[in-house]
Amino acid sequence: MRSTNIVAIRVAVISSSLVLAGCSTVPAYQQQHLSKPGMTFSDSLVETTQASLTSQMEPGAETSGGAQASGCSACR
Amino acid sequence: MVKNLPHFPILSSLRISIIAALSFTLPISLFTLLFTPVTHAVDTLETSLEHLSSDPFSISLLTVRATDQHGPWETKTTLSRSDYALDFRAASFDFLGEDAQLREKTHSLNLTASRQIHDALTLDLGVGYRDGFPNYRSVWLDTYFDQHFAPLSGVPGHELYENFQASAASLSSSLRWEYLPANATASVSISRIQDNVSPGYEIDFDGIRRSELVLATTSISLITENVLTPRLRSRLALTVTETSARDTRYAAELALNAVLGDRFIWRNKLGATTEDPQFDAHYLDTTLEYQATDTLALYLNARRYSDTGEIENALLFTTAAPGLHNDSLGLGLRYTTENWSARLSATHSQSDYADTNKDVDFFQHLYADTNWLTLQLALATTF
Repeated sequence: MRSTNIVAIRVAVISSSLVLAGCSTVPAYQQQHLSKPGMTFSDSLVETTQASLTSQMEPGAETSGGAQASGCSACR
Repeated sequence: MVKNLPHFPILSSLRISIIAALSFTLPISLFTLLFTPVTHAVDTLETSLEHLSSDPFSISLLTVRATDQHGPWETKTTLSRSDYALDFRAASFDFLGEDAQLREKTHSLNLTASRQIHDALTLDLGVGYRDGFPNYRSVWLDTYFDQHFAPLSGVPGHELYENFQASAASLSSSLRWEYLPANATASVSISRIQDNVSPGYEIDFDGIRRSELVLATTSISLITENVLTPRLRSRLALTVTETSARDTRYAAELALNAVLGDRFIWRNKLGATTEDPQFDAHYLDTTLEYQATDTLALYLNARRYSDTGEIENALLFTTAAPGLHNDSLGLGLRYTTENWSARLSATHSQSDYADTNKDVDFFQHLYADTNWLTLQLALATTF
């Protein structure tokens, strides 16, 4: 089951990468919706809706490899 | 037993290259940054207060961040303080453990500096330091080991016991390439973290043994952001992380933000993490936001997280968490004016751990099913 999940994840990641690394261009005058505060991937404390403390509850949710995601005495 | 480390020649070479590159570029860049004349005062000031609580645990996080411009460099200085308040509860059969009220504080400082080095290339450099525990589980386990191993004077290996103070230092760097102007970026980031942990202890017929004091983590991420249509934006992050005495961890996160009509925004995140020999985690996060007025937006968030239990390399005894399912539902609002913005939110979460044998599980009160409440208030102003 686990190997099936891993294969599925890898396939999804690779296909997503190919699909989403789009080559088309949307001109700036058509991007008025995309510049709204809720549409950007900002690290601003106000615009980010996910709490930093979420990682306290969900140890596998960190993808950044930042200081909070590093080792601890619980996961030696 | 602590397992033999697998050998990853590519990662090892990369790690050496990363450390060499950071060692060379970081001091020069920081020197340049410090001695460049200041052309502006603080441009943006942000603060956030988060509070996470359940029956036995309470965690508060205060963050303050200033963004300013020093010539060609944009700098971000982030200070944070975490307060942990835990009701430590010993298992009923644990004759060495005793209930206790725990209080701990953690402070951290992160500095990042960014500058455009070419028309389409931006370089980010960062340093960070943390003084204290990174999470409430570490606080709990530190107390557990203190209660069980500090009194064992005379036992072989007791000289290894020491009440360590946790801390961490980090270096990071990233390069962002805007390969389609205003439409697409790709960035590569690398980081190195030296984590001085409060170690775990074990005892057998040979006496007391101690786990590692320092964990080194090297992480490499590839992130791409794309404008797919006039109403759809995506972000994909792939991360490889190597930590001392553990197998390589792979993580991926795909985010899609979509504009629906004139007043709705739908944000979605799908993520997965895997690490041998047995850790898998995945999560789905979806948010529907309604733009009520020009300045006020309301949003509803739902999140589902699941993992198979944490990696651990214990000898005879495990401190690792069992499998976990966590469901969250939250409400929030964001108020935005020309110079000010604010966000307020409340989220309820329910954690459900896989069953363990309560007759032998020393950590049944740490890894217990519980309900969490998260409250957030964030404010930002630009000058």
